Amino acid sequence: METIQIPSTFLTSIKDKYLLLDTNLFRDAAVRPSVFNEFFNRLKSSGVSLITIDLVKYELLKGSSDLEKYKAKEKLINDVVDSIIPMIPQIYSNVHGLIKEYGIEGTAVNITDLFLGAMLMQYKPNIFLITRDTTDFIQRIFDLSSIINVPHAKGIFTYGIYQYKGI
Amino acid sequence: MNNMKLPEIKEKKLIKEKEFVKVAKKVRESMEDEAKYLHKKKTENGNDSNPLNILNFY
Repeated sequence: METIQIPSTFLTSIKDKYLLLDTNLFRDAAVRPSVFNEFFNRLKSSGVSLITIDLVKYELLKGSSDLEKYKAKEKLINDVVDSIIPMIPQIYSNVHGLIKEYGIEGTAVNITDLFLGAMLMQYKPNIFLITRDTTDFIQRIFDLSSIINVPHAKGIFTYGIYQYKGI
Repeated sequence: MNNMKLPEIKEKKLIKEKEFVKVAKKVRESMEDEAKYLHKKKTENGNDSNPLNILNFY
């Protein structure tokens, strides 16, 4: 079976830390469940805690065509993550800070991505983000710690692993 | 700023593949429904806002 290559330096740096999952990871896992099942389990077995936030859940759940499919999405998320990290007041304040940091470059940034960035700010250095939406996490603000490539039928999906750069 | 701790996760639950594949199939069906709905809406009102490009890749 095809497996996702995880850079060994990344596995070392994320051991016993938290990996925040963006919405596209769940969508991609739904399309290639066996490949992502193995990937997620390998991370968990390496001591990585897989987490997300409610906003990511909402992005995935909205548009469900019936209740059965809504529940399937909810189960998919719950099967993957070890915890949904609750919002604390400081996160909202971090979002304001990030908006100021982005300046004009924040014009097209997705709101969920601002909250993911705010989580990275709050819990640095123990948290990393994995996302395929690599344009929202600009390297002036976030460190691109690692890259994971996943070949698919018509090309390659590239996932960025990010940490917040500031103090 | 980063003075709070993330909740400690003592036991990480591994994903059961057979069950996961079954759930993923349902999710995929919903994603296909959503993509079709958005495509229909886009055709109707010219709004180019389809966030689900997944069907173009598989």
